Amino acid sequence: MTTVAEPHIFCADLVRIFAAQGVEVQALQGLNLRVERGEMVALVGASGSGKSTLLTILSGLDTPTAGTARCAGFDLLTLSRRDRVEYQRHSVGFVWQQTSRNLLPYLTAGENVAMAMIVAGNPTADRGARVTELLDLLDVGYCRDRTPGQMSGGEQQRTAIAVALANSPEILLADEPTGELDEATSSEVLEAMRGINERLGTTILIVTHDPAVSGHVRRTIQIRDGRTSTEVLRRSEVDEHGEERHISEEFAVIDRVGRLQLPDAYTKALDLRERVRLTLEPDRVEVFPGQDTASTTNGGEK
Amino acid sequence: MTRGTGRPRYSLVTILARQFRSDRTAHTVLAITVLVLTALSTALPLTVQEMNSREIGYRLQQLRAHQRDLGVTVAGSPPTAPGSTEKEIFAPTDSGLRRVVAETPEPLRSRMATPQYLSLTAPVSASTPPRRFDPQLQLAVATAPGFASRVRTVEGTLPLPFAAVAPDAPAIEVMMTAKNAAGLRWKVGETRSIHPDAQHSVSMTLSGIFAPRSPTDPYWTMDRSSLVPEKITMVLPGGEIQLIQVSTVVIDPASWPNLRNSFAGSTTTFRIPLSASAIHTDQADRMLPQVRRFTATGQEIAPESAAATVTKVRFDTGIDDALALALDRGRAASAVLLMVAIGPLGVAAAVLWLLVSLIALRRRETLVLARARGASASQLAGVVVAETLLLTVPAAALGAAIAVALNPGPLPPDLIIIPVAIAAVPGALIAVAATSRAASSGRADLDPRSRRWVRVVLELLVAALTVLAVVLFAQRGLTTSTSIGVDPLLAAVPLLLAVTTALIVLRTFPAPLLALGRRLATGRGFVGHLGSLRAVRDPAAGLVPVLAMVVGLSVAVFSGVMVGTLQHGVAAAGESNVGADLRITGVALTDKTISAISDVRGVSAVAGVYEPLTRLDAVLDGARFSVALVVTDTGRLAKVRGDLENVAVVPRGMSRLSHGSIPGIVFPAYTAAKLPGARFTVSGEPVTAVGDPATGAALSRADAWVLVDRSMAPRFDAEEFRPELGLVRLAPASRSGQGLAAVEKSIRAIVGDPVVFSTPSESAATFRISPVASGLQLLLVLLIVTVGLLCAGSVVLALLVSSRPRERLFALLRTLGLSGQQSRGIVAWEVGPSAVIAVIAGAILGLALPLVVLAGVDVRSFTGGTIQPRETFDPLVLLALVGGFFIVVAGAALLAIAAARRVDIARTLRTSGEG
Repeated sequence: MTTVAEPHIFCADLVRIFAAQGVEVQALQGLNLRVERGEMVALVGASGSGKSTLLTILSGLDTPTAGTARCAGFDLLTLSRRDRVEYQRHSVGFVWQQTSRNLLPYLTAGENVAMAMIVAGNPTADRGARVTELLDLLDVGYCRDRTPGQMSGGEQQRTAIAVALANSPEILLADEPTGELDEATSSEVLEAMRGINERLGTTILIVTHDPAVSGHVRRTIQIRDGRTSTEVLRRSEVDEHGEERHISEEFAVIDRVGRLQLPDAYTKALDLRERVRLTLEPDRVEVFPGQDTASTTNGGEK
Repeated sequence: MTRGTGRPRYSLVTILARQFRSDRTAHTVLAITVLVLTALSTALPLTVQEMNSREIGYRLQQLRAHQRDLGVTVAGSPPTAPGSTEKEIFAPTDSGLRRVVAETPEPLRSRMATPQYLSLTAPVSASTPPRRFDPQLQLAVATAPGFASRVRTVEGTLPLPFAAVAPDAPAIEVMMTAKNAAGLRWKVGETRSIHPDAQHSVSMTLSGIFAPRSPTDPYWTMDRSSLVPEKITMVLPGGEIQLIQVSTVVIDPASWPNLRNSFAGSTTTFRIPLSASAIHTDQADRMLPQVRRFTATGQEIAPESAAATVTKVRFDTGIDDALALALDRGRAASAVLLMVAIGPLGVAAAVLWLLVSLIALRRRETLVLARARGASASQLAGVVVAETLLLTVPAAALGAAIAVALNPGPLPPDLIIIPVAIAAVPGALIAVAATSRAASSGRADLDPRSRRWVRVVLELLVAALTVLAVVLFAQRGLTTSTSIGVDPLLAAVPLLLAVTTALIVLRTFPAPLLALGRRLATGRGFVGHLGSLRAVRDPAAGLVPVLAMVVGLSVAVFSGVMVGTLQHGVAAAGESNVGADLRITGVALTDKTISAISDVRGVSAVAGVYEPLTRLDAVLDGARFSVALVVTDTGRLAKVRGDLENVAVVPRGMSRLSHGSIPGIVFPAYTAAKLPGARFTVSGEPVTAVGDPATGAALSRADAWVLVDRSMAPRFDAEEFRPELGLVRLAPASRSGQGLAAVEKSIRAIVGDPVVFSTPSESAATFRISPVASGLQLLLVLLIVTVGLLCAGSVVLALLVSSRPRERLFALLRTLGLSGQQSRGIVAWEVGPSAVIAVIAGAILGLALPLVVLAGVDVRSFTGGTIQPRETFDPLVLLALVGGFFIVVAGAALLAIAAARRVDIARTLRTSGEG
């Protein structure tokens, strides 16, 4: 199923509509997303932007209404029951914001990790060793025999990551993993995830409303009104003086049929509304306010 | 960073064990519920079986020996063979009877004891020197094989054998009881010359006096004069009355062949005693046709031979009717109990569902998490089912063991299904509850519309099924009179009606409640407004507790009405069977004795009732049928009736012709004839139906009869008036206890010893203490208690199941300043409206159910009456039932609310973010 060229997470024109009692809520309105194997990406958006819906779909808990969604070679729209189980067991792991959705309160950290293995039907032989290894990987080996109630928030989230990694998934999805943590602890958790990404090569997608997360990932994608709008790529370069420089470039996302969202700040600055004028230059497209001078003035007076 | 040396072994079992330990309350409650339910529902059929077996035993014991046994009296002697000893002589009879028993199929055969027989000559004059006022003193000679072993000699010796009866032969020796000897004024050693007919004479010497070893041995029922003289009243043509007194004298049994030809004739009585012990209904079911076949065909005792010898006899018995009645009662009891018990079973299923939902709810996080981690539906179902069965199977086994321990006898194989089902049902339910809850996103507002359609269709199906069942039930009844058994659909009529009522309640009550909520919104009552809205939009109750309350209350009210109806029916049947405050039978009454009785202190009125044996031809609208004539002094009978309700109504003026027609009370009151006022012809005489025969049972046992005044009797050729039934009205002080005993004693002194008295309360008591009647009432009461507890449980569980959203709401409202009292008010609104409406609907249904059930189940066999009892509503009992029910449910709800009040606001708000 997997082709070399295909990205590890691929969404195209993804639509999810919730319909209840005559009211329709379009949570995803044609979202596009590509995440390559081994990437660690943050998906940032305000509340109600559809980011949690996307993550629920990617984790196989929900089915999109239309579009394309493929993860680790699984087509999430046509997933059979058996494939879904297989996908959740071995291809994807996730970490949610609330501890209660990650860890069972009455099980110790070790048992929580073990339970994920048992669910997946992994062999029992080296389960204990694997549990210890995973917890140690996340620096919470000392929490092995503690229940979540006896751990700090950071320890809980790191244990949750260990649980998510229990069956060596190719992809790790995290929904606001730092939502309930203070800045320092957040940073610890995010660095732990980056460590996993680097050491195990696991593809990681973090969904968050916290712009600070962007500092820990190379690529940050902005989601707005159920669509991906812009991307910020961050890289570090060593300049001619031998000093490391962090460079971040912002990109807008253009979909297959050429639609593109301009950042809010841009449209406000030039009072772009209703229509704009485009001109094609050899190496770029230029966007001008669509109104004539009079209407621009009028608009400016408003 | 690995700590310690011991690495934990992470196995499924240890994790499951920890999960169970972390939250075992609901599971423990489930295990206890399963245990109690299994014990009760297994014990119920076992108890009913036992009750029915005991009922058959009771019915059989109620019979007199001669009714219970197989018996026959035929003309002729038993077959004999030449020989010198009793055994040799009667060998053909003995072996013939043994063969008859051996050829009888089981289970009848093993209930037969060794057959007995006894032969009597025709009675002849006892040659006692006459005295004035003596009745005619007669004796009959009896041969009773095995006689010596049944008596002891009080005086003299046993009679010696003799070779022949001849005028010149030595006197033959006879023996009799002291009472018979005194009746004949015959002393031991005295010899008399007896004349069997004009030509013969036999000298008899009384060799001794015997006394029965056991006077109550039913053996002696074969000959009524063997122990005491039998008094016979004979009416000669012309109205002269002759009194005869017969005593039996016993000879040496082996000498019978030498004597029997000297007498004009002889009769032989055969008796096969039947056991009166309790018998299983299945056995009784098989035995009944065997008895009927046995009595319908002749049983060959010996091959055809001499004319005077009995060869083939047809036994008779009253046991078949008693068995049939007992089986009928058992079936009716089972039917009533099944109909009543199916309701609580429905509630029990609802309670199990709630419990299982509660467990699934508590496991929800675990299940959602496990499912998100890739646990398949079958994996999840497997784990929760295994966990549940691990508890329910031992609980059900223990429950069944308790039920079996409480009842004698093993668990019949067909009842094993009960514990198996009760153990398995929670497993199945939890598989459904757990997987559906784990699958749902937990957002109730995103419930797909298709599920509402499913619900509507299901509800319509239930309603249609109810209508179908009620219609079928009204048409067919519950088939209690056959052995086919009970149609489960029809037995479920009360439950179906309750479910439909609960559905109607659930679907209709939001409208008035919303209206109420809107009205309360305009006022200051925030609690009422929010409460009524919550009751409609987010009812804690839902279908299950409403169903439980409707079913529970309807079953309770229904049972209460049934208990009252049966008690009332038994009393009414007693009254209608006795017909007066006191009934006198067993003796012949005369005008003189009747007037003497009326003078007894405590007696207000007496009427004699005479029924000549002849049947009359009656013609009504061209249809001809046969009626018995019942003659009485209607004026007296009217006085005797007094204010009794269930006996014949005797109008005034029955001693006068009305428009040339004879007024008569006619039974049965043919509805087609539009009685009263219908005109009949009885024996060519015009009769106008008047009055009301009521059940008719008290005045005559005939299928049809006409009662006329004594003055009209000569028109039907009934000149004389010799009542054998006396009906007495007593002064209130003499109707029971010592007053009654004194009256009975005085009447006995007037009419003589064999008199039999009966009163309505005695007659009712024999029915009331029968195992089925008393057992049914006890079981109905137990069912009321059980269903009350089940209802309370369902309300508590419903509140627990819905506790999480409520806690969340309260935590929110509490931060806005909601007081504890207000929060209690809101919870009360959650349960209150549906509870009130469910109680009203349940009470109405409970009052209506008896009408349905009494239309389909014949309960006459419980009351001993000839007509189906009318449903009796005792307002006090009903009020107590409804009130008690309400208190139990309200108390349970209060407990649950009190428990729910301890809301940890901080915790709840912190964890309530999850959808």
